[in-house]
Amino acid sequence: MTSLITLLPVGIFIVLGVGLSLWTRSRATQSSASKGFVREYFIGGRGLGGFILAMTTVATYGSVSSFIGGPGQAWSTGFGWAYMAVCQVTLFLLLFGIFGKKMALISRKLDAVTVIDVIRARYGSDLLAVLAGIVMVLFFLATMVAQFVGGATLFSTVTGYSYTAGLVVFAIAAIIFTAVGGFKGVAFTDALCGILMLAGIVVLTVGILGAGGGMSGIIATIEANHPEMLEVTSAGTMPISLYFTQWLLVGVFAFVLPQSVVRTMGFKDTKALDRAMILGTVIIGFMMIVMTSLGVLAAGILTEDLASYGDSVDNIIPYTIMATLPAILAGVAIVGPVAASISTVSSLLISSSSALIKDLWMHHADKNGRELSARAVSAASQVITLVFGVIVLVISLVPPSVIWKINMFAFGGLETAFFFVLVCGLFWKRANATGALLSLVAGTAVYCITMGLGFKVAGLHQIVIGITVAGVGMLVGSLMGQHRQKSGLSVFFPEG
Amino acid sequence: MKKHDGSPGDRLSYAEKLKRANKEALWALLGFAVIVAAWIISGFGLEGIDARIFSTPVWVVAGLFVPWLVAIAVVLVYVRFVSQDFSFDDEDEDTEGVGVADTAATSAASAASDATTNTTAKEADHD
Repeated sequence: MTSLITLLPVGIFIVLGVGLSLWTRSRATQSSASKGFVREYFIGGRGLGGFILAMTTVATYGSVSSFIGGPGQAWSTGFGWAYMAVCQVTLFLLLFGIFGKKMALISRKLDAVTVIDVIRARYGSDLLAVLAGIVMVLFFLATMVAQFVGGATLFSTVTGYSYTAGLVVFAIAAIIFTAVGGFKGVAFTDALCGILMLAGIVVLTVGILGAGGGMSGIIATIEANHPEMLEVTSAGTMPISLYFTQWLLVGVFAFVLPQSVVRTMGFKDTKALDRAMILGTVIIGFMMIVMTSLGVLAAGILTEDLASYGDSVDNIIPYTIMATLPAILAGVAIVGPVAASISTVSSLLISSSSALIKDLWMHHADKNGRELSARAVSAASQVITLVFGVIVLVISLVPPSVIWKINMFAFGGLETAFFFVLVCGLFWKRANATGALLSLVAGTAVYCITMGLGFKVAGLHQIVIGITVAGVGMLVGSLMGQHRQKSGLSVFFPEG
Repeated sequence: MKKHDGSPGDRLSYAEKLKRANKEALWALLGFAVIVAAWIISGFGLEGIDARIFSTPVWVVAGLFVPWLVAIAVVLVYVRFVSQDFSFDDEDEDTEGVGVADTAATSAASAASDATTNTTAKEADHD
């Protein structure tokens, strides 16, 4: 269907988002000093309250994979996939419980606005900071491509307009949300996105239940066609080993993703943290559990084999939306995944531009005793955001297949790179630059190589190999090496 | 910014606040273990039961919703009994590193929220 009415909700969403960005910018504190500018632009003046903190974390984490890739996989696997997805309810407890207060205290003490700032200060190594920045930006690029491809595929399938048109519109929206409002603009538009993601899920739930003859009708259809979809192990396609590695990927290690960790540097006070922890756990549970279950229930609607749906599980949710909802509601339903995609991209864009501007350029200027003007930094930040957005747009024009796999690849890579560097940096006094460098470089390299070769140990996802190598690297390097002179141990582990 | 509002966290030094944060991180790990246990029991543990809720196998309904409810309960307990309220500002010594612009930017918002924060100030340390 090529229908203008389906476009209406997406159009309204983008107009609202741009308005919100402009409003955030108009309220931002103007500062003529470049330090004041970066504090406002990259971390929102550390002023986030509980609601916005919860929503921006949910929207950053909840991606197009949560709406398209994951549910599509659930359509083919069964309830086991949804049961696995439940592990994501632990995110807020781990992220805010383990990192929240410590990062809040330390980042204020250091006047740090990025995760790399904190890593550099802890280990006292510029090389580590540069490598961490490069690894982060590369994996962010991969994640952003997955987001755009997913969002634009969905858009073109459901509305009938071209893939490229969808891509361009989303890229422009993500760039505006980020460049205009900075971190705070991203946080506020994330909140809008989060609300629309929830609305999309509710609409699609009603559509699927209606079209499939309620729960009893849908379950009866699934049981008649694929009884194994009602088993935990789905007749062997969902083995315990897969549960285990998925738990590691999205349950245990997901809290170290730098785009999530930076949010622990931006909130106002302990009350905001407490509220966000409660609200976030409620919302992320609803989002992941219901959305992934909808993928399973779609098997009661789309009953042909995968070849009939373009041979990709990524088409399942788009086809389900078309099969179950009238044009205007289909428009509302696609706003969910589109918002999920744009909100994740905007958060990654701001983190990527901060890595280049703050962690590389400004740090370099600082070292050489040059004072940059707020105006130059502001202009450069926006240009970099634009450049990154355009790069991702161009790569997305020729789309790689199976979104959730690309997303999971980047997920695992970031976790391997940052888990020990961040956790040991904050909690293990002996951890030093040698350990951190070994952990980051060896872990990430081994992860990428084994991923590329398809090499597995005991059939387990390569995250197991990557994280093990990263852990050994941290341990060996820290025990053998020395603390750098510049390492900020007194801030991280003060006496008394 | 928020100064002494009578809550115990207010008197902590920077080092003590970090120690407190370490302790709370351990409690978060314990809470995580509780959620994992609930997840295993409610799904794998109940798979053998041949009963249905809304036509759906029991393990599906329990496995999807029980861990989530347990996670919410864990977080509520954590916020009520573990998480201690303290100011993130460095009150004990120098203010080096704590940017002036930062204080100016957030003080208005913080002042507004103080009225609500004070009434719900966290009670005594529970260790």
